[in-house]
Amino acid sequence: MTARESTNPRYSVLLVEDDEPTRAHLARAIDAHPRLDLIAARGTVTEARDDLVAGKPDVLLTDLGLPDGNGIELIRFAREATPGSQIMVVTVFGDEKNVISSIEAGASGYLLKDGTSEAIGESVMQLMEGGSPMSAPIARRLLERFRSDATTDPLLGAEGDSEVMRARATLTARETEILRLIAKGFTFPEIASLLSISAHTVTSHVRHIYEKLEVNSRGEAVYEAVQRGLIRMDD
Amino acid sequence: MRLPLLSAILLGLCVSACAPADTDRVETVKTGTFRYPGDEAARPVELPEYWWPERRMRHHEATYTFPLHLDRTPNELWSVFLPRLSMNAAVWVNGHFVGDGGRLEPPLSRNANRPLYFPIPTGMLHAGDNVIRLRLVIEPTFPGLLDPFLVGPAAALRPTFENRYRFQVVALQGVAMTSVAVALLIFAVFARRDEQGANAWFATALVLWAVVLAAGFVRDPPIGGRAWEFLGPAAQAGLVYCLIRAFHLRIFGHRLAARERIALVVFGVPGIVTVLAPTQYAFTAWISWQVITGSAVVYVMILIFHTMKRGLITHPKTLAVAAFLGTIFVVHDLASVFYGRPISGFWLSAYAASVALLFSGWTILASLADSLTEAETLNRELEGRVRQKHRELESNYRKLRTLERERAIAAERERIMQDVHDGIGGQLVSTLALVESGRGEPDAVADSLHEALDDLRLIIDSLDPDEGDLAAVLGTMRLRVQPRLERGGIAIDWQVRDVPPIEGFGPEQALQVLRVVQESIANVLKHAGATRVRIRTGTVQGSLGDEAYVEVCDDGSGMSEQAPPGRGLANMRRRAENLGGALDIESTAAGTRIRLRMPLRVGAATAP
Repeated sequence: MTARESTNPRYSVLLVEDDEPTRAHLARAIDAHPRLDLIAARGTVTEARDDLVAGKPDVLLTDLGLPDGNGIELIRFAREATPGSQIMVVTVFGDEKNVISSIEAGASGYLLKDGTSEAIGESVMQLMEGGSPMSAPIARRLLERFRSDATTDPLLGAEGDSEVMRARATLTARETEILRLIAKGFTFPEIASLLSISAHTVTSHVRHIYEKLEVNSRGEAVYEAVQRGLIRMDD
Repeated sequence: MRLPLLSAILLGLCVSACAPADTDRVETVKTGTFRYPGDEAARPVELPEYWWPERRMRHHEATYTFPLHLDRTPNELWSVFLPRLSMNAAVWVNGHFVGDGGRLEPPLSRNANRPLYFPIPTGMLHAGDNVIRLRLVIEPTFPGLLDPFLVGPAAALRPTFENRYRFQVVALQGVAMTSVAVALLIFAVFARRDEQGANAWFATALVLWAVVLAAGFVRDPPIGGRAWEFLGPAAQAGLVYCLIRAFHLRIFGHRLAARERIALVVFGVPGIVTVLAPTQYAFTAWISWQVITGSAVVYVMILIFHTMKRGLITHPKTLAVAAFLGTIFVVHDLASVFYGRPISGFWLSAYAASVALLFSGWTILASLADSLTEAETLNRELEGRVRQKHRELESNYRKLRTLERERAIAAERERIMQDVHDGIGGQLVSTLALVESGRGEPDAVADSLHEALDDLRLIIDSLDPDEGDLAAVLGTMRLRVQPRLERGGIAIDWQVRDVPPIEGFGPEQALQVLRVVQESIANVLKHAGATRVRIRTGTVQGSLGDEAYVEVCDDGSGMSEQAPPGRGLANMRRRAENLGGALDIESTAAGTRIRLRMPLRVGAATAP
């Protein structure tokens, strides 16, 4: 078992959560996991920024509502300051909208505050091994999001001849199919067997969907900036 | 009140026309002699002279000779001015011809209603005795007449003549043309919208009035003497008849056929008599006819009075004055007939009638203009009101929508409150009781709290789905039930397939379905001793028409023995009913199947 552990890398985790019992619960869960090292558990954006820059953690686990700022800002900051860090959002059930905003800001996963200790550790590990979680309600929302992107885009209009438009990512047929199955409640292994593909393929499809969402969100930001004259495309 | 003023001005003109401006140098010629053609001796005469019918029958013309004594030879242009004569005349001064009023042979030029004026070339008159000779020709059917006439400087007489000519001829020509013009205007305007026809009859009356006037002032008519003379009273009879028709329609809205037939007879018979009358009685018949039709104006007056009383006329006072003056003038003219010449020097009824008729015509057109203006104003107001109403409707609609939305929100809030109260609220209360009793083992408390959380999730999940998407609702639920089933050692066979959208499937319905499924799963966990549970959706043709179903199927030992139908099942059935669906339970020793069926279309359940 020791030998096996040594072949597997260990990951450092920075936890940002302002609610103390939840912070303690999460900290315990991470601490308990054999392959996760908690480098700090913070309650504010300011402290977390310093730790991010100083510690360059492998994983940033952050809450969204923080006393001195928004977790989304912290996620953006982490994408710039420590591009190597994977980002996970700590959330409660029924908060899919914020999860999607976080993904758009650069998060690659989320975990539920009230999950069991094992579930929390496993979620982080899955993320580090290339998997991103995807619940049925989030899948349903993403399907809607990409569908409306494909038909009418309020920002780009009908012409869509700009570079931004060309850079715009749409879902492949397979990705759409997977999202539909997730929305109906099927698990990744079930989807793999239904589609006769490997579980790993399903995981990487989901990860791609995450990336596309972030790319589109950036594209929108760029387009908006161009429209407002903040950026010139020929620069 | 404009009408009396106008009348006063007309009368003033008439007076000024009667009297020359420079009277002391003007000689009025009254006394002389006359001879019929073939007479040897001249007879003395005093003007005015009137030819009674028996005289007209014997003689159709006469030559008058008047002496004129002048103190000195005029050194400027002089003239002779004949205010009134009938029918035509030629004038010589000291044997020199100075002028005539047109044709002196039949058909005669008709000068009964126009003054004659001839300048006397300089040098014809001289100091001492002068002779003015005048040849008068008459129509046997029309009174011959010669009024006193004036000789004097042209500068004094010409303006007098011109005034009189304007008054007697030009004014009536103007009235005649105006009448025709107004009539045409009324015809044109009311051709499309004069339902009663009253205005058309009135316009016809106006045209006939122009004919009456033309009979008076045309000097050389296109048709001969007696036929032309017939035209005037015939037109007058027609005019009065048209007025009667017009007023009947205007007042009663329909014609009064009996009265109108009487009018036709009363007017028509004298006309026939006039045509057939022997020459010596022709004028008497002619005058009688005019008196009869003129008297019928009294009936028209009564009708006018009616219209005024009923407020059908826009300027009743003015019309009343016009009618009053008209009556006086008509009486004046009728009385004058028996003198053979107008008492005041002028035939007046033409003017009063003209004013009254033209005024009425103008009133008709003015009322049309008024009603057009009114219609436009109404239209504008209507447009304004329509816009106003439109705005009000829009605002009402907005309010209504806001209200509906508020009501929907309130209803939804009420429902959620109820759900929270019934579900999680109750669970929290019982958990609290468990803790406070001191007997609550940590595991029991945790279970109880888990249940409460599960219910909260259920409520949240139910609020989330796409309208009508059963598969999505269940997909969300799986995440919640999976860990507990796994802990219970039960494998899930997830067979959720897309089902067509269910009509009227909202959060409330979603929650009912979720609670049924949750209850079924809870039963599986508690009682069945199962190793496997299959959750399946699909569609089927059932007693409710096209149905969607959710099925929870376990491989346990069946529910009938261990757990007789209790509150849980009753609740499930109630929920199924609330959904308009049904709950089928099959339980054998090989397992239990609970199937919730719902109609895809609302109302399909009522079909047998």
